[in-house]
Amino acid sequence: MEKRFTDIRGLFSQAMRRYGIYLILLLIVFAGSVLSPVFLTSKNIMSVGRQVSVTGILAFAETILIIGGNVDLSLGSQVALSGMISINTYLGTGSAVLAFASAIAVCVCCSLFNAFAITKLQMPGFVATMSMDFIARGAVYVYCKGTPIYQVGDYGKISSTYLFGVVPLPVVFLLGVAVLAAVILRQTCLGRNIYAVGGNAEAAFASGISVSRTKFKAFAISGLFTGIAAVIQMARLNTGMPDTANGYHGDAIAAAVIGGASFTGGAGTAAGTLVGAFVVGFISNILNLKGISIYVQQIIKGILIIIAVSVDIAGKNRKIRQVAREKKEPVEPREGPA
Amino acid sequence: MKRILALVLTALFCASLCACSDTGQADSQTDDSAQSSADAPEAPVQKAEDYHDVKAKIMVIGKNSTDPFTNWLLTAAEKVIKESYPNVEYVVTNLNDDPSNIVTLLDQCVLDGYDGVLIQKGSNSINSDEWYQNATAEGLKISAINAIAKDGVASCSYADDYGMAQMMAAHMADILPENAQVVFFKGPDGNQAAMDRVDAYQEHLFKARPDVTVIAENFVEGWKKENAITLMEDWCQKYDKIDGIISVNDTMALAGLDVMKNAGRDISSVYSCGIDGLADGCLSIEAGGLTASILQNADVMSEEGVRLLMQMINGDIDHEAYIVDGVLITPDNVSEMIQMHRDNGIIK
Repeated sequence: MEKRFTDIRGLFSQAMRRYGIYLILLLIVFAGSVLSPVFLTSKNIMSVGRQVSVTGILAFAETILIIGGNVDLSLGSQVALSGMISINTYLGTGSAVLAFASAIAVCVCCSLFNAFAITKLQMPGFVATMSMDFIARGAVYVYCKGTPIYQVGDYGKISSTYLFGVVPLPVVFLLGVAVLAAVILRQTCLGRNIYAVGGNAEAAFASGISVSRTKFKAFAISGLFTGIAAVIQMARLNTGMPDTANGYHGDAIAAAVIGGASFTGGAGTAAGTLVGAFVVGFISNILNLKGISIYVQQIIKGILIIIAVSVDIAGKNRKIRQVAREKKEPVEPREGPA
Repeated sequence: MKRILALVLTALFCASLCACSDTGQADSQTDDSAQSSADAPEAPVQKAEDYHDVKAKIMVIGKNSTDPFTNWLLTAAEKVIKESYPNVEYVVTNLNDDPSNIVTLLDQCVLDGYDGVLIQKGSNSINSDEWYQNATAEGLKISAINAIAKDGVASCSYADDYGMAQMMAAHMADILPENAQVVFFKGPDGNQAAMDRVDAYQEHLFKARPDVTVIAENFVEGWKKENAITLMEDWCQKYDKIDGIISVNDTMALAGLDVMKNAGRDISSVYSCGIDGLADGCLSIEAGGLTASILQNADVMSEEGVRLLMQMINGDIDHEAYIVDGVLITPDNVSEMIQMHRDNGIIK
């Protein structure tokens, strides 16, 4: 009887760990719809989508890295550097495709350098990416001499255009990146390798997975996503601001962690990250609609991260205790059909 | 080995602080004892030409590397030193938005034999009076720009935030339509410059025009466009009718206009205002976006700051204050302002 109760409790906690974030999202949506009559309108949902598009895309970059046992603290600075280069590319060529390509190229280069520092120079990821944060932020000021680019032509249309007149382009990019991240993580060999390397690098290596190559690929994907986010950020601002996106890596990590990505590696989903980004966005939206200070939003974001990480750690500890118990105690035969 | 490493790292840190040239944020307070550029009967007799041959070594320090206004201040300071004080050797650096770097740089200036420092002072970030007093006791002359200095040793050249906002408030009180519904961007909570501007708007716009309703208001962290955009997007969802955008700086007012435009609203009938007279604000006024701004003239601020510093180095004055008057920018005079920004290279 006690065993069955423990099983039910285990299943419940497992379900909460896996689907808790969706429950939180539902609660927030319910609360929002009660507190504000405009909350559930399609316009408001799209508006929130546009607000979370940049940090959401960056969150997918962080999710892939976190699942693989890494983290990148330089994403915000990469956004600023590649965004400024992207604007100048656009102003020079008039091509939005080249604007995206230049931003992506810059971010992929920065990310590959991070991967090189981590895998070849054996630097801790925290140190390597923090150094890149300084380098990229410094480089953007050197590049533009600290001066914003005020006249960006039609660059801003990348953000202000609507697909079918309803869905803002940043939201389309967010969803596109979400699908791409989900496909990479769930449907490809690389995705499985990222989970394996993040879960246990030694075991992954023993089973024939190239750990360093997997990390390089994960960082390259992160660079791709960051480049896309950079273009959207600058288009949203409709100005080239070298000081933009300061600390965005923190928001991205927050969305990933709230969405279930585990800092110990090997766990996390694209869907969870998308929901995590929207949870943060909806909370800000509700508080803004109610006229509550932005500083309160920061407190709430911090509390959410603590809860998410605590749930993750508690779940892992429970699993460890369960395995230890099963090793000590003989497993009772399960009752079932003869 | 550790000591050598520590020494190398310290040297690198100091070198990097000197190597970068950057930007910051505009803050200041009022001071009854200060002289205004308009009503300054006791303005110093000396002019820049009087110091043409003075040899000096000075450090120009901006507040951070991120703000367009600091960029303008430092560009103007460099320009005036190059053109008017050819024998002055100078280095431009910044605090990286960390006021604790003030003491590091002042110590370095004393050690390296600098004669003076032109520093963009933060409004209320830290009580740095003692640092200035100690550095002055070591023989360093200090001229603060963009904020009042009340330490008793430094000169200062700054614009009066309350006065600028009062000028804008009066203008908006004149032109806002009856029963207008406006949103209000208040800038960073606790920042003295922002609070002064907010107080002036409250007193001279919202109290003077009780029919005007503030339908939404909030603080905006870091005076930043991206934060203002998020706020405005949410306000646009809640309010169908927004007649005006009142902001304590240009950047946030422009963010509000951008959002309304992207939401498909007609902004030609929206009254919007900011403060600072930055290049993007002027361009927007010219294009029919922003209704008005107040010029916080960084050219004059830097020019006067450098002049006061040279006077101090030359022993002509102990310390003095100079208030730079704001100028209302409307479509009538915006072309002059745009030309000024072109001359400074801020508008290409």
